[in-house]
Amino acid sequence: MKNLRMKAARAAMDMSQQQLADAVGVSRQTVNAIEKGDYNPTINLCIAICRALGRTLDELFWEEG
Amino acid sequence: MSNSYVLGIAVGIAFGIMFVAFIFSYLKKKGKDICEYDERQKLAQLKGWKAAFIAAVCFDIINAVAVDIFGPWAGMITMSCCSLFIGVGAYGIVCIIKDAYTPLHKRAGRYMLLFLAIAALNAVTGMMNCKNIGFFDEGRLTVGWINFFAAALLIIIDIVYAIDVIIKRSRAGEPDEED
Repeated sequence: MKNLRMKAARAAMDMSQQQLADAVGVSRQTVNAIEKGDYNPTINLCIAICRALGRTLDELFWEEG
Repeated sequence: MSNSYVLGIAVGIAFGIMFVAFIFSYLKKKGKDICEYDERQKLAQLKGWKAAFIAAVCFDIINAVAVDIFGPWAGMITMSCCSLFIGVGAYGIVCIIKDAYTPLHKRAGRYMLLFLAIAALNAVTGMMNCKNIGFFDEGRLTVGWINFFAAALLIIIDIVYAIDVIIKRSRAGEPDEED
């Protein structure tokens, strides 16, 4: 399932996928895969992404509905 | 195999190991990460290893049956190396497709150039070996062909790399893909 909330949060911070990838220490393709829903990140990576985007785990990764 | 030939192989391998160890040690002292992969890449590499194992086993089975029916097409060492190269090739192709071949902060282009250079070196070495021992021995490929197969493997990996780059660049600009 696509992670549009993460994409929106990244766009709100005016960050490219590469910038977010550099901030959390992964490849750009990994950020892309997470946003497309092709890869489920570990909790550590989720936390790192939340810190980089200034959001909580619930806001970015909790399933809606 | 003569003693000098075996000694030459041993010295070559030892030198190669020492050279690689020196490079790794030098890079580590400079504080640079040699090969850093993220979690998704490591998972993808596991799939690569699986593909490598399956590819090598399939080749071995097919080769065993073919040798049984048609007779050996090469020496044991050459056939074993072919199995190894097919496994390595399968691993490389899966990792390239899943963007798990190039470590973080490294450029794919340099790897492609390095592979091309090593392929050329192998091709030249293969020619020299085959010139000394011949291309065929009683209708079977000689060990000199191992270098040709290694060169072919590296060129195939380079081609897959290039195709992958072209496909991904053509997809850049689509809503889900960024440059």
